[in-house]
Amino acid sequence: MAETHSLQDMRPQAAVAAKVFIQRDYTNGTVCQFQTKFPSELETRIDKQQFEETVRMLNNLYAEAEKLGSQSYIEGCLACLTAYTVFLCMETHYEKILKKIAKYIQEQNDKIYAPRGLLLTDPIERGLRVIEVTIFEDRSLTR
Amino acid sequence: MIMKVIIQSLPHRLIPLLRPLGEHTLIHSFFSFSCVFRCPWLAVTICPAVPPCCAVLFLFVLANFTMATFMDAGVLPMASEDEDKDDEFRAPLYKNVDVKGVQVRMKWCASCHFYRPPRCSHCSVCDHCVEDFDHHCPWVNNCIGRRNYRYFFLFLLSLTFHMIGVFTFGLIYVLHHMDELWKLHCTVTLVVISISGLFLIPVLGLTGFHFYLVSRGRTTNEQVTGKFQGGVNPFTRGCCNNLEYLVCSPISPKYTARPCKKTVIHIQPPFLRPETDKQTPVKARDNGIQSRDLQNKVCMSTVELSDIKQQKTPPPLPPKPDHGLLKSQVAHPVITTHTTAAVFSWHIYCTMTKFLLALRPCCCLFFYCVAQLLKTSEQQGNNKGPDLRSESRGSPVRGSHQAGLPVQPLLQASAVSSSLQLNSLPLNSRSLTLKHSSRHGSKSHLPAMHADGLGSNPPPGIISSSGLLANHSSSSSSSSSLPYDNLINPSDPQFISQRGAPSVSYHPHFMSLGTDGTVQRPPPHTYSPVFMGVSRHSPHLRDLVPQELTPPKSAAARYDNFSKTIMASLHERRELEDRERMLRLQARSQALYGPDMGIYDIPSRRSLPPDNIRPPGSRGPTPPAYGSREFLMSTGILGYGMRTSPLSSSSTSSLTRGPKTSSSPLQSGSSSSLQSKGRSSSPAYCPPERQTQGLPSSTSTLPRLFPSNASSAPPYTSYATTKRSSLPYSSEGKDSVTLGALK
Repeated sequence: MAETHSLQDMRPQAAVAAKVFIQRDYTNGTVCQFQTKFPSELETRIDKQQFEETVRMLNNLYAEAEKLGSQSYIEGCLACLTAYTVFLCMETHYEKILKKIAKYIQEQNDKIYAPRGLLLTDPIERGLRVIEVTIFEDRSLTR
Repeated sequence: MIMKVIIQSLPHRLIPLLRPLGEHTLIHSFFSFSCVFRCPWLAVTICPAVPPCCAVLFLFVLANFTMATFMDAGVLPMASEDEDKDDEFRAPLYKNVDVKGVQVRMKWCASCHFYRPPRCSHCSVCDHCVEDFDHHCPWVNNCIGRRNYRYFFLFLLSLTFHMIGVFTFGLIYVLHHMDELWKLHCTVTLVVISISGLFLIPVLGLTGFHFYLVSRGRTTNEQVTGKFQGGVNPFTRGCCNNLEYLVCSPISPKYTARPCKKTVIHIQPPFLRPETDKQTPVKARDNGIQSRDLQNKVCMSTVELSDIKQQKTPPPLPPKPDHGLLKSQVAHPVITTHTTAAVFSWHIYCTMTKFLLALRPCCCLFFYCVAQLLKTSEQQGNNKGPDLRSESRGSPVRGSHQAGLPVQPLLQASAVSSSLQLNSLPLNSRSLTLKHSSRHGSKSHLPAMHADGLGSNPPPGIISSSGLLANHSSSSSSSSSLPYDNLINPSDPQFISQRGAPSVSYHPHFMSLGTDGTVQRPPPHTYSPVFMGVSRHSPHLRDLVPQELTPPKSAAARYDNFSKTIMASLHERRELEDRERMLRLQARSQALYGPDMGIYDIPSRRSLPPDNIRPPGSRGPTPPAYGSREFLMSTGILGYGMRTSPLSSSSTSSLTRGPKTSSSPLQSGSSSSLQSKGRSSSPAYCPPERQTQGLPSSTSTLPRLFPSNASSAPPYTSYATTKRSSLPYSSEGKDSVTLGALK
């Protein structure tokens, strides 16, 4: 299910210059929140507002995933009643939100970060501990 | 999805599960079987709803048991190498974070290479970090953490109710059939009641305990380690909310073994930049300084990259500035109108240096001949020193003992061909021949040279050669002003024999001839690291130099004649030479610690922060359990400061899995023997395994060393230092033999 940009397959990729890791923000407990502090390494690459907007949106999505609402109640009850066999056929609420997050990150990468030589990595790959921002080398500058 | 998980986890889980599963199956089937026979009577006597309820409850117990057993507890995947590059050697063991106003300590996990999030702990049985770690349950042979705590709690709860039900209904049955007590059905029921009653007590106790934990918002780990005993628990939401959260919260996702849908994103330069672009335009200034900065910037970015790629290597040395300088000078020969011939001749010097390094012997002979030919021209009383270009001052020739040599071609190549140059040439060559003659053990030249040098009204060039002599004889660096004083003031043909400045001899060659023709001197205290080695090689020359040399006058007033560019380049050179000296010292010290640097290969600097400096307010490393290997080692190692700290840090932190076993898993209250065996064996297992895997044998011998000699703390240091030369030993027998030999 990998989507490839076929037109760009032949062109060589830029080299990785650095990686910035946005850490978790634990001020509200163990809920999944990331620090919105703008890292200094990205100062020359992207607008502060844009970056903070991305992180804020991600935080909102994670908060929605972990929210104790009607959806989670129904899910719990159903799971109990069916002796958890419902998980065999149904996706949990959190998983649905995670898909949404993955799509959002992909969209952000395509529209905003890739043109600026940056790449956001889905934090779920890191166990929801960090958001990895890969900074690519800007060869045009060094020439 | 759940089925996949179960099927995948079946092979490696079932085998250790056989015992608890077997017990559970036996008990439950026994109960169920017996209950089945009682159900018709119960349905008739008490209520027809009893059997179905019991059945449902039994199913519930089984379901929760299955989920608790097979569900991922919230395992955090190991951090990738590029993530922990910063934290490896410089970061402290603990990191404080503020959670709802309460300071919570996050510990570095040496196995997983990240700072454990709050409430996360590393399970040594399963060897992974678990989010919201509760304990490792031997009955289900699984960690209980964030994702499956609910199922574990519900399992306990439902099992309690199930057991209460079985006990109660069994009792009712027996009480109704008192007259048939010795019949089979009654006897079986009695047995069932007694067993269920017996197991009910610990299960009830455990359930009550977990109920209390949930109401307080704590994990078993936190309760047992007494984390929030006296203080405020920032993770609690209140009793009711905690219960609500326990039952109704959404199930957090699995972090490991996720189906990754990789989408390919192509990133091509040129990249967009933010509107407020802070790029500084590159200007070429005099001396090419700006170009050098640019080059260094590029170098730094490449250095960063290499840092990212570096994995578990010793702390990198500071970037080599002189290399960058050379590079910049060669690659970017920015010569503006302001640039003097200094830069140009510097390039020539560099190239000639490299050339002559290879032709050392030929040059010696050549210069000797030249010196002999030009001997008579020394009689010219010329105030002016050798015509040395200021640019040649900025020459940090590294590691070369032939620093004097390149001066000759420089002089030859210089555009100015005055008599001064001729004067200097023989002098330098003489000094060179002196140097080489000393090397070859020939001392016959020296008195002759001295006679020449001490001849009446010697030209300043001779003084520079004597300066060279002095430099040869000296072994330490100090003020370099003295030879220049002599040059400027030729009426004092004083040789400096006792002055330090091993590299001072370099400087006469770099004196520049100002536009007004006056001799210009480099500032004092400039030196080249090159001659440090040279002087050390020929300390015996000191004796041969005449002792009538007197200290020269201060040279402070001599700077007046220097031009600004020369001063700038002088300062640069001084800085470069300082840095080079530091590098050499560092290299030397690294060579001393060389074998130990291999320890850095292990991600092991956590237990001792560098320089034994801990950030204020943070606790040191968790003291190891008494009697553990770590404890034994720490008594010997930690008291020995920096020298042994690389070894100790590697050894103690390579055993971090040891303390983790004591802190992280807590056994269910009902069982202790099974788990305690596992616990006692794992610390013993883990360190030697880890030690033999990747450590240099010097450290790998440590855990073996100490059990055999617990009080060997003092000899340890000697052992450590001598051990370096006795690498490698991999077998225990050899190690003990070595130890015995050392002793």
